[in-house]
Amino acid sequence: MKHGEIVTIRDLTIHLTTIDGILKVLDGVHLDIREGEIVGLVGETGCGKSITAKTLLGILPRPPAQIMNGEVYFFGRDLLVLSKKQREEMKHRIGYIPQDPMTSLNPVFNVGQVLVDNLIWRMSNMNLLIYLYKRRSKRMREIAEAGALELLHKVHIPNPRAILGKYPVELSGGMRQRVLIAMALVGNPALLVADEPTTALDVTIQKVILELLLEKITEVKLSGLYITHDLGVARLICNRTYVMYAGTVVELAETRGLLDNPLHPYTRGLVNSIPKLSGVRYEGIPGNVPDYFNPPKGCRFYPRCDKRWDDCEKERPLLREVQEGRFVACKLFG
Amino acid sequence: MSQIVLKAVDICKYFHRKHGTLFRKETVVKAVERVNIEVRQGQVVAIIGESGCGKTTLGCTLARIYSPTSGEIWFDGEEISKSQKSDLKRIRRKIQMVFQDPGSSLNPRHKIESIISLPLRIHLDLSKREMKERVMELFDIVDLPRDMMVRYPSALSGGEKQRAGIARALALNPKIVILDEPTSALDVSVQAKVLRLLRELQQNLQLTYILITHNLSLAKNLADEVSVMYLGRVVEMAETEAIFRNPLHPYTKALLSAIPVITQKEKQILPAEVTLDGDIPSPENPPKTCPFLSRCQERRMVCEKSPCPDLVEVEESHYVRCLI
Repeated sequence: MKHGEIVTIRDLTIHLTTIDGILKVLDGVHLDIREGEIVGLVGETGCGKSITAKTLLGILPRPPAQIMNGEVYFFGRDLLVLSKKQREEMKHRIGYIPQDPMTSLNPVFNVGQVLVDNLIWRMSNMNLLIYLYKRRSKRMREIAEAGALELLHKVHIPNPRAILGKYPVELSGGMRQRVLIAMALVGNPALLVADEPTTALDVTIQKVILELLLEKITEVKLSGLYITHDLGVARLICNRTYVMYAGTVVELAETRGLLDNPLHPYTRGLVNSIPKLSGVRYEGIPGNVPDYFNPPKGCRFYPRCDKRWDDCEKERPLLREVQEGRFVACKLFG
Repeated sequence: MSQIVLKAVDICKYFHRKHGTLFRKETVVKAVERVNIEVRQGQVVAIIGESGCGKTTLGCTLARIYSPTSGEIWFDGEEISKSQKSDLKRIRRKIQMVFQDPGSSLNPRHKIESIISLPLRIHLDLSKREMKERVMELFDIVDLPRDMMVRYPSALSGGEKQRAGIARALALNPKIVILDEPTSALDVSVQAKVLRLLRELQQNLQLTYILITHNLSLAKNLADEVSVMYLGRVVEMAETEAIFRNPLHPYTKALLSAIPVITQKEKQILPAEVTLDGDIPSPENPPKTCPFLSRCQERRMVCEKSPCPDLVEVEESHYVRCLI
């Protein structure tokens, strides 16, 4: 592990067991997150972005998921081999912002209850007995409430005291997402994992939320893993971006460079698929995402690639550095 | 200039909501408020705006799925806002709609063939063979493999479902197709293919589209004319080029600057950064003043005092609803 890397994922291979057979969802995924940077993970639906994040968070249900190979280091410790208790401790240094603000908050608890409970749970070192005891103590509740107010204040919610008593249905999408960000910040995490936090929001609100996230991340020197399918959002917020296709990382580069000059044929197809304001013609990528039961043996993109040659079919290309800080998994580049 | 096919004059659509059991109270949601729209033959008119601004309601009203609370809709020289059953049936052959979510707009219990042939069965009296031929033809038009005919919607991917939805809308050779967020549920690489199909169809079949979307880049690429809606009202209306080159209403500016762009080249096209604070006011109780007032960055004293401004023609065929 290199200096300053918070997360290192090496060669992660995950299979999902289903009634119909084994889905080979991830195949040799590499990912690094350095201190203080936001890393983007982009790709289309079903390419394994969320699975990667869930493995990192330790919330992947196993079974059906099976980790065949690979290491997931978080601060130098392999999360996959830790005991349950140790993993639980590590987990609390990762904050998670879920995808859909509409359904991610429990509708029967108000914002205050959720935040206060969360804070007390943290304060009792995740011990259930201490938690139950502290929950009843009035003093603890007051401390936690003050903490909750501070958190809401941090995410720029106007009049946080009024929000504490509100239920999720009473809040707009942008507000809910703010509450979720506040929740992710509860344990002073070192890493924030955001799984498409703005897809359900309107563009103007999306912009506000992104600015808020960026502010929080730079303010407390967090690192972030930002999952999205929107390349424009990635450009706004991510320092480096990993492009995933069908369970493999196909390209890694500094975001701007990646989008202005994509190298891998898939990335190029993806960038060209988006209608641009500059009016450049857009074109799709022919074909469909491969079947995960029986993915292509060589490059997983090969059946849809317009630059393929015989070699692509036989062997999986590895991520190779083609320029400074720029990695591509394609036979075209070495 | 080509002929106007669809014209809406001052249409409003209000929804009445009753609540309370003992003390019945009624609130009115003003989803669409005095909208004027003109669509010319062969044109693509885009309606853009955030969620909840009434763009889908407007689309449904134009297709006469809803009947407007007031106002007139002229289609082909005929007033259709108050048409009843048999007239409506005739009109609907000419105005078709493609819905937002391809997954839920196809009946999961019917085969694709029967879904696409349903409008034919309702409106035309065809023999089985003619029907089959027409469906096959439609499959070719939207580029779906013919063996999909016997499948159920669940066996199709998102892009294929949307193609089926388009085929269904085209079954009766409509004049106008209302596209309600045709690609928002699709992945980008699929999106591009569906868009290309829509564009080709428009050119080959001389179709007229009303495109409802929140994606401005899409509007820029497909539309000739753009109307920006905010809280049930059209706040700016102009040709696409004009709106992107010179957005005048503060809301349009904010909307444009909020688009996450991909390349540096696009960034230069956009107006300077404007960030909006606050939320959209509820359409149940819209402010009497300019609806955008609470979030506007350029508001002045006048705005707070005067009632909602009217659409004014600022430049040639560029209308803005703003006091400034």
